Amino acid sequence: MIEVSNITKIYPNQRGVKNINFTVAKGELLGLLGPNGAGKTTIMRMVTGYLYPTRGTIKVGGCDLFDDPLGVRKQIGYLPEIPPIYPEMSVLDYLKFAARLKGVKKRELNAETNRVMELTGLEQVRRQLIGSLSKGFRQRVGLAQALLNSPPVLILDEPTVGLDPKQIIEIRNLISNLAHEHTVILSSHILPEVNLICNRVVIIDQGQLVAIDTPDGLARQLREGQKVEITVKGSRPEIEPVLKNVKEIREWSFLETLPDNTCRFLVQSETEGNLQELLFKTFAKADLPLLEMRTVNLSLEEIFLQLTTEEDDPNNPGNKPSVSGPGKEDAANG
Amino acid sequence: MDKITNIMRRELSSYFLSPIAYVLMAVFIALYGVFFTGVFVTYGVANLQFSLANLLLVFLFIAPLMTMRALAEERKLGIEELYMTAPITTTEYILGKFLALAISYLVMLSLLLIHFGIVFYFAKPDWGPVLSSLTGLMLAGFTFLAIGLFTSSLSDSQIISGLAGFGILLSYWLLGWVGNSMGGKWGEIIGNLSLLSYYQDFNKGVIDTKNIIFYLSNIGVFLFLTIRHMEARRWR
Repeated sequence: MIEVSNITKIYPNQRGVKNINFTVAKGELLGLLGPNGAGKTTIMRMVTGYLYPTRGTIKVGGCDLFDDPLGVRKQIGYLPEIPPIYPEMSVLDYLKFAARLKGVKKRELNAETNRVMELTGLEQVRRQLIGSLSKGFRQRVGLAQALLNSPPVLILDEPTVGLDPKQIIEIRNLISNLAHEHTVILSSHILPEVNLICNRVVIIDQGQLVAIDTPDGLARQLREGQKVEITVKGSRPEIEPVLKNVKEIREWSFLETLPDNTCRFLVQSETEGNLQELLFKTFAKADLPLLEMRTVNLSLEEIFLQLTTEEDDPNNPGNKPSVSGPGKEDAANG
Repeated sequence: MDKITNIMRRELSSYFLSPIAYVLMAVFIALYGVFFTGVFVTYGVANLQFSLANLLLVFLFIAPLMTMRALAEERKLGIEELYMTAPITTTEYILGKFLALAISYLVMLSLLLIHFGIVFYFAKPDWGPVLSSLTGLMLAGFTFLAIGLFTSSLSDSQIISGLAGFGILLSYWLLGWVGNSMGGKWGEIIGNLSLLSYYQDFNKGVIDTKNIIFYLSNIGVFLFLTIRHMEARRWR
């Protein structure tokens, strides 16, 4: 549906983006993730045709951005970083105006504006001036505008910014539902959000694409060896020598002491595979009951930090369980 | 065309909902009132041409105030992204804006009918020069607006775009002044570049194709520059 090939944007006096490549399939929900100023907005602006890339090509639904810019724009609903709203207009008037701009037919104007207002929960404020609305509602007006005329592609730049937690959940659900019929690209700096709703994630740092994969795939890609969290009955001085003696364990860290003389540890192995079995046998031999054992996935947050801070710490990219704390549980990923 | 009228209608309703529209119209009509009264008190003739002669200069100050918001403000507020990513051409966007400005200006000009009504009630002045003056005022005013729209596309600051528009218009006016005082062949050439000197003919009651073409081509050039500039900004 969207093909971004080798695009570069050079700005006169700030960093642009360099050699970005990705494709988005129909019905897919792609998340752009990156620290502030990484180039997420620039990439989205290029896909919508607001800016043209210095080099490279973009195709949306088979239309080339340079050969047929209107063909591209016809297929896209775009929510910019700052919602493009007129504060002096009422919600209804604004949406009718935007609908006409997008070529909604006169007969369908009322039905279409009602549909998007219902989707975004704007019915209660339809007659209010946009200028008098809270930031959350303005954001929704911007989103409603993007949904007008049901474009096959939605580009949403930080869609949940400025919303309260309840609204964030609503909008996330809305976006997840929309992804069935629309192809969606959204950007966010909130990692769990991207983790939760996106099929695939593109991580961008300093204008360059650092990684592209599914959230789970990214976690797998970065997991060096295995991480297991264990709870053992026994005191810390009893357990630590046991761990020290297993050479397959690359690193371990003490997490906490629980009541009833129990300790929790985070253990990381060199190799994939038999760490759990090994731990079970080791502790059985040492006569220390192993009460709980679970594998730990890296959360997207950790991956993000690793990928984007790699330059500072090139020798030790994924090796800081004690710094970032235990990661996300496997079960919670689904 | 639907898309142009859609943009134009929105612009007009926003403009006439803002106090700026009424302040500018009030200034315009008040200053015309001064000329209007002055002519009657000084000369005691039922002549509208004299008072209309200076009106274009008043609009030279008002036009940048009308246009400075047009594109600069939208860029600053990020609304530009709505238009530039909508399935409309930049030409439609700019023409919609320009037509709205032109209509706002015509509404402003229509206020003159009050004064005309007074004169025509008491006397029988010549219709012709009044109509040709109005034609000239319209064409020259549209040119000012096209120039202002262009400068509004240059910056995202209203003040800068307003001042730039004002600067261009003022130098056009000064060109005529310089040309007149220089005299000779060069004076004529420089004077011919002035946007205001073409209005003099209209004011005298002469409708010359040359003058009409001068204004229309200026409008065309500045609208073209605005559209090109908006398009070029996608590459920045």
